[in-house]
Amino acid sequence: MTDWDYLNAARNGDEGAWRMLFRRHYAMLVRMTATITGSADTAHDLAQESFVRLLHSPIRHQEGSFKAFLSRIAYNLALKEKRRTAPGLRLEGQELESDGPSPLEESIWSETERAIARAIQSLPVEQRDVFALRFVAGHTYEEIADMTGIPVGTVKSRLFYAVRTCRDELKRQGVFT
Amino acid sequence: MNHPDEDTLLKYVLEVLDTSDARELKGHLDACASCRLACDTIERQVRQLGTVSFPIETPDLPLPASTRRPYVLYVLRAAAILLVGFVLGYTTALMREPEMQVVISQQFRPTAPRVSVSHPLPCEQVDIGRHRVL
Repeated sequence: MTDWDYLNAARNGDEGAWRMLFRRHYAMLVRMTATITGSADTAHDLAQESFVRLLHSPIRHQEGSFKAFLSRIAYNLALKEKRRTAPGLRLEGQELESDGPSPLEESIWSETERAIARAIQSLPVEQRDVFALRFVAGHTYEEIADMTGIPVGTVKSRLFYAVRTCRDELKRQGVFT
Repeated sequence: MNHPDEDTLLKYVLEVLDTSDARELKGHLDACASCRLACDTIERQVRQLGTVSFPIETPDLPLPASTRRPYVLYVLRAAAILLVGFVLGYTTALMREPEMQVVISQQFRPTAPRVSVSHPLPCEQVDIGRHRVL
């Protein structure tokens, strides 16, 4: 059975099919949206919202990669969330984030991984999004271009600069040699 | 080919290098141990960048209630199918069998005189004044 089959079964009230989809893709969605938004808690909310939206998405979209389709829903929700919580939209008097570890960093156990997460979070937004879609969600360059609406060449160049920046930063900190 | 710089090796690892350049570089890597070692290091680091993980507990998200079909819907659907089938069958029987029309009309009008169906009359020959057709 394909993921599309499981989705159709879930639409018809099959709880087992629903759980199967959830088990297969939930962690990937959380990691991806956490990388984009920088918050593990928000990522859980977005992943669950993505599944609910998936259930009500039109059936005519059922072609191609299921994972790419689901990721696109989550990616759009993450973008919306980022816009909603953008610093420019903060209420007057609301405190800006401190320099301490972000909620995402705090949830990571290994010190090396924390350093990597910090380097990724410090990337420009457009590079971080491409990074998340490529390395965390595992999409092809073509799928990313389709999801983000930018040319494949731009996707490749953003990823290159994202990885180079992260490597340089981690080398500076002595994490990478 | 000269020894490639780190950026070129990184592009090769990320598969963003042009096909012809990638082919040429691969040929060099096959022959040059130091560049191969540098490439392996970059590849390992890139892999490490993509494996940052934090504990994820998959919650138990129940199927939204709107997609669960209550059994009453199945019962209503079955009843509707049966009703439509009955109406269609009844109508078809009336339209196809003229003699049946007479019999049925008599059955529904017990006071009207009975007509023998051993020699059934075509519908148009039935005296409508005496034997009303439905």
